[in-house]
Amino acid sequence: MTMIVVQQPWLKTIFVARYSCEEIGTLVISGLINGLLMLIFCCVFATLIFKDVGENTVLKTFIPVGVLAQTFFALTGGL
Amino acid sequence: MKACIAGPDINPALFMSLVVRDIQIGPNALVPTPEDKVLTTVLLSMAMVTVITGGLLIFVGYFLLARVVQYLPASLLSGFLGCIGYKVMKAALTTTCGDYYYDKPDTLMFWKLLMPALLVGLGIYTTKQFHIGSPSFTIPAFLLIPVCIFYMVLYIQGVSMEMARDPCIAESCQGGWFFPEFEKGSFYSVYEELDLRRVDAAALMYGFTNVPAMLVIVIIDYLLKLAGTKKALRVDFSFDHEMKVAGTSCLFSVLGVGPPAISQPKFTLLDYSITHSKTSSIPGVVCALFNGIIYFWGIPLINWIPKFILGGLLIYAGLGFVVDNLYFSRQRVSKEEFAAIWAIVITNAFAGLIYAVVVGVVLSAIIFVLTYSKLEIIKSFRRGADFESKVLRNPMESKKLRHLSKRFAIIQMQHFIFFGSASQLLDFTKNLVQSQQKMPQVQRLAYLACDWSQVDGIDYSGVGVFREIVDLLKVHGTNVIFGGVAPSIVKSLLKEGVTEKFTGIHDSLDTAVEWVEEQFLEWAHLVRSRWMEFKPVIHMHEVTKNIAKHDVPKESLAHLGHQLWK
Repeated sequence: MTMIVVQQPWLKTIFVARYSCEEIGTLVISGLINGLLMLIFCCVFATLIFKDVGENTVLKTFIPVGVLAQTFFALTGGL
Repeated sequence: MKACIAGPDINPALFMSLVVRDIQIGPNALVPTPEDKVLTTVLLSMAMVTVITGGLLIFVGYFLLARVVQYLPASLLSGFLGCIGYKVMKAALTTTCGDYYYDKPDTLMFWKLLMPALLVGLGIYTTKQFHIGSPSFTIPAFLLIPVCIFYMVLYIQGVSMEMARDPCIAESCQGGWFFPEFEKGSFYSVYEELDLRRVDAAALMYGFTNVPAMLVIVIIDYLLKLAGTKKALRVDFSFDHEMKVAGTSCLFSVLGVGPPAISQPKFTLLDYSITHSKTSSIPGVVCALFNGIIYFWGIPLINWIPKFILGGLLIYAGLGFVVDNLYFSRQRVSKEEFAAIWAIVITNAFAGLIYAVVVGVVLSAIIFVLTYSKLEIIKSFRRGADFESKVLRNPMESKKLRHLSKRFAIIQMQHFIFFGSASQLLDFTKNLVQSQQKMPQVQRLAYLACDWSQVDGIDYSGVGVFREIVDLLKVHGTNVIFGGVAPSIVKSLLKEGVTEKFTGIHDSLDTAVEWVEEQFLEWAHLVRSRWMEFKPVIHMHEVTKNIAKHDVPKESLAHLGHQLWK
């Protein structure tokens, strides 16, 4: 098993456990797949929230920013 | 829990959509909220709701209130989650088919737009529900393959993105597949828009009428999700701690005017199915950083995601709520509770969530009363001869007690005595009195001991029924004794004056029985002493009676003998 030797002290706080390269790869891929799916859900929820009623059109144009607001929680919640 | 992946959730998003809708409508339906005030009011409402939700989650976690969810009726919980499912499915329909076609199932366009979403949503749900394949493969496959096929079809048919993006009011249109094109968003736009001078306070307050229901649902749903995660991953973690973590991240989320959100079991389980790690926080960090990059970059990814993917994911999210709570719940709850769940969801569909809450609470209360009133509160009824106190008595006394205890009985009660169940006791007492009337006076019950040691409590109506029972027995010459009464029950009985009517309250059934035995022995002693006084008189009477009876024959025989001797 190849061991990752983390030199930087601040990185040691993240990679507390030592993983093999394969394990690190699996963990990162899992994070990316979850991140992409989370982003799609952020789009879904933003379109759900920023929905105009009647003649209004102001919220629809704000959907991309709404998506970003949703992703901000994915950032803070994840960390 | 380290291996948790957090992100926005459907419940807060759904309720926020209701808040936003009400803010736009405003308190006066005839005068909608001015357009220039809508966005600022919506952003402020989102920030406030996130702060409130975060504060509440921390409060629940800090005061260890996570267990409160166990006290909520299953029908109420399932009913509310079924309402969420209904609303999510409705949202899936409007997202996929658009505002124009979502209520036109008789048109070809409706089905043309909906079918791919159904394929995606049902596909992900079915594979996950029935454990077909690995979620790490099936979920990305159900999202990526339809998108690839969709773009290939667009290419083959020569349909441009502009044509596919067309809102498509005409039936023959080839569009309706995307939202209108958005400009690149910038995360600091929210701060530019958040000008408090443009807030419509009345609309904000009106929109907040949805918040209490949202808070209840979010807390309950989060606890259920935590329980689900615990069960699926077979790891032990503190719910209260998770609540505090979720609350803290909500408070941080306010910095970006983010929505209230919580950890996501479906993502956590997806991560576990890929990594098989319950301890690594790396996927969660990578997921957060990925979204962080998107946040600061501001790329409008939504411009390239077809609406059926978004609608399909909503169908997948909603189906979980609908199927689990409106179909599979029948295996967990009684028929009455299952009917209540459907009643809550139907009320929500036709009258709104507030009425559904009222209907749910009322039906749950009725079901509780009916269910509890069916429980047997009389655990046992036995004759005193079958039960002796722990006091050691001499053989003579024991023999007397075995004989006299026929006039003594013990009734053992259980559960909570309230207006629904106390009638069982009253009916039983009436039947007992009727059967006693048919017996000779000397064989009727003199004492009835009530064992309260297994009674959980009594309400005001229950105390009233007990007063009636004690009165009835007193009239028919039966004394009532209570044993093993909890202090809280004694307090209720004293408050309502029931204690004045019966012979005594004892710490336990044993002391109550001992008291009855003493009463019997004392009574036997009294009878015996009276008998001792009475016996000489009887003897004298017998002698006199014999003299009177035999005097005439003696005289006659004496006269006859005298004649014979002559």
